[in-house]
Parts: sequence; structure tokens; C-alpha cells
Amino acid sequence: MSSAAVIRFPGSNCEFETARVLRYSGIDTRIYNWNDIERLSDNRADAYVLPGGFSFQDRIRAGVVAARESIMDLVFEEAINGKPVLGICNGAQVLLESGLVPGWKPGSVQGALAGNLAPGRSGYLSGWVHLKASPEAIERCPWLCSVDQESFPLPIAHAEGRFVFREEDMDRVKSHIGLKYCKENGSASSGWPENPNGSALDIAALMNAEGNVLAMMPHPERSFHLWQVPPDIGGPWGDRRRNSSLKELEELPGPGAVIFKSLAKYLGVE
Amino acid sequence: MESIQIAVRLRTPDPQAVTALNAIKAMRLQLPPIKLQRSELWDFELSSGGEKIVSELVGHFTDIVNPNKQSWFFTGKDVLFEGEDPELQWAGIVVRDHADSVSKNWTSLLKRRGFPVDSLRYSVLWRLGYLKDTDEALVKKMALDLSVSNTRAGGLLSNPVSQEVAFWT
Repeated sequence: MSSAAVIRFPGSNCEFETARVLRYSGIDTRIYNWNDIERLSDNRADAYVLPGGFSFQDRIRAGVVAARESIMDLVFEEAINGKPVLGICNGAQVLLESGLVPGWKPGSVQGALAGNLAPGRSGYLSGWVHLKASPEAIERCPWLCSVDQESFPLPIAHAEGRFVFREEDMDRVKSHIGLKYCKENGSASSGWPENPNGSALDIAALMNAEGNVLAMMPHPERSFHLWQVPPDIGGPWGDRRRNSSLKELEELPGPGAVIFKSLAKYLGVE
Repeated sequence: MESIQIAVRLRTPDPQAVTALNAIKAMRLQLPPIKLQRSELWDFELSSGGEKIVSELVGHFTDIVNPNKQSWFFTGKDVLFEGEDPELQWAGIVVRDHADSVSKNWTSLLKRRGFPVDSLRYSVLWRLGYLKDTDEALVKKMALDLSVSNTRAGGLLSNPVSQEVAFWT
């Protein structure tokens, strides 16, 4: 049976729901503490997930302390060997601080998830955004291979979610885009509020060159079921949510399920 | 135009500094800092009023200084930072975001409230204390190396893509 490891750092707070939706998707999933290195080393997984939360209370800056933990040496090695690795929100910050994403020179810090830039406000924001996958990501990212070209909504909740790159890297980063913030109908974002944090190129998720490592700020595990979609959201997912019976709400997948279904498909889970 | 800078510190040991020092210890440097202190710096550009205005707004906005848990002082008066060991050789590193909504939004808020503030800049000051007999130029170099995370294993205090560092003098 295909397996996944969810890595829990001190301050992670989305590990249980992340593990649960991976299990719902048919993947045998275990949660490993940051100091469970030997146990994880003896039980290598087929995929790794760094969940959301506030690892080490976001001290110094989000993700930087977790990125230096020894367990990340193992994740780093597995990522370089081509295993699928997903970082969600704080997990994405850990991946950027680890130099795994964008990963032109693995281990070098070549991007940042900086503080949100939004007109008239600073700090933490939460809400729902609309996203669209890039064709390159659908083609080569195990976490996005079942996504179609339609836009879909996911929730966000972060204070440091703005993808930033050096000016000279802005061209080559385009081929690493996994998901982009967009309008409800899928057309390009015109900035805030569709792009809620001022992210460069409207990036919501970024992958490495090989596509096996994905750093995403939205939370797919919080929208795995249709009942988790707010009834007042626009677009086809909102229609589906409003027009579903209670029974359907319990049973039908939400927009975030496709991320984990993609992995299941990639791993050959029936 | 007047430029006034204040430093704000926790009254208790700063957990961010404790974590940073532990992370530095794990890096197994040949000459690591012995102590690390963290402060927040607020740089005000004022059209009038000077320190009196700054004192007034610091007293008014507890988001800048929460008197229950933080202390503050005007920098540039050659005062030793509270709790700093005079037997160590200290290097100061200022870390700032290239684009910073905190500074922008505070500037806008203070202007709206009628304070004579032309601009405000928020940054973080890390004070690294090395052994007293360490060469001063070497201390500066080591502090700078430690300040920029160019790789996962090296540097710590700033991300070179989104932040800038400078020596604090």
C-alpha cells in the first residue's frame, strides 16, 4: 500500500486533518514528530507532507527554524530522489527556507514567503480565494496531475504568504508556477483582492523544476469535503454547495480533494 | 525634518532570541555569539515635535509599545542596552523587509490621526555578543555571515530575497 508521512513540528496545527484526508484518499499515512528521525528513516514513505501551522511559533521568520531541523535532511534527500513532497502554508514556508523550492540550486534560498501586502492592512488574513493550475503543473506535478483547467476555490489563512523572487529570477520562475490566484471565472487576477497578499505573478503555489515538490499557501485539507465550502461562495463550486442535499454534502468531495486524489493517482492507488 | 529612532524590547527574555541562539548553537560555528538580544526599531521622520511627539504616540498606541510587557528608549544616546554584558563585544544587525506593509500602514494611520509624522520604518535589531578579545573586524564579518540565510545551513536572521540587512551603529 502506498504511504505518506506527515511531519509535525512544534507548533504545527493541521497535521491531523492532513493525515485524515490522505487516508480518505487511500494512502496509508502516519504522523511523525520532528524528532522521530530514526523511526521515519526506518519507514520511508512514498510521499511527504509538511502541514500548516506555526512551526516554532514562527520565531525569527516563518519556517526558518523548522527548515534547519535534522528531519528536513531526510525530506531533502527524498525530494532530491524524486519523491513527492507537499508543503501547505507553514509547510510551504519551510520548503522555501529549505531551498527545495524553487530549487534551481537545491539548498540555496532563492525565494521567500514574505509578509502580506494588502491595501490598508497588514498581518494575518483568512478567507477563500480562487485558483487555477498552470498547464506545466498539471503535466508534471504529482499533487496537481488530476486538476483540470477550471478555477476552483480554496481557503487561505496566513500572515506571510507573499511569494517574492529576485528581479533576475522573475522569468525563470514562471515555469515553476503550480497554482495562480485568479478571478472567480478563471480569468487572470487584476491584483488585490483576487491576489490577497501581493504575491509575485499571482503565485499561490510553486513547484521545483522537476515538479515533485510543491509549496502551496492555500489549505486543500480544509476543503476536502463539499460541506466545507461556504454556501455564499461564487462560481460552480458555490452552486454545487448550495444545490446539494444534506446527504450529498456529507458524501461529495470538495475542491481541495483533487490535490490528494492527484497524489493517489500518481502513486497508483486504486 | 527630524529623524528619531526608538528601540522596543521585551521586559522578559525574548523567546525569538532564545530560539535564534539555540539554532545558532546547532550550526556548530567555530566562534558563535555567546549572547543574542532582539529589539524592534521604529524610525520616525517628523516634521515637528521631536521626542515629545514620539513619546506621546508611543504612550497612545500599545501596538508599538505594550507597557505591560515591553520597555523602550530613544537610541543614539550611547546607552548600553538593558541586560547586555559589557564584557562582551557586541555587533548590531538591522533586518528590514524590502516591502513592508507594517511601516506603510502605520505611516498612513499616524498621518490620519494628525501626528506630524512624514514616514515611519519598522525593523528588527539583533545584537550579537562575542567574546571580548575577538578581533573587531572578525566580529563584524561573523555577525554578517550569520545574518543572511543564503543556504539552508548557513546564516539565519534574514531571507536575502525579501529582506535587507545593515550594521547598526
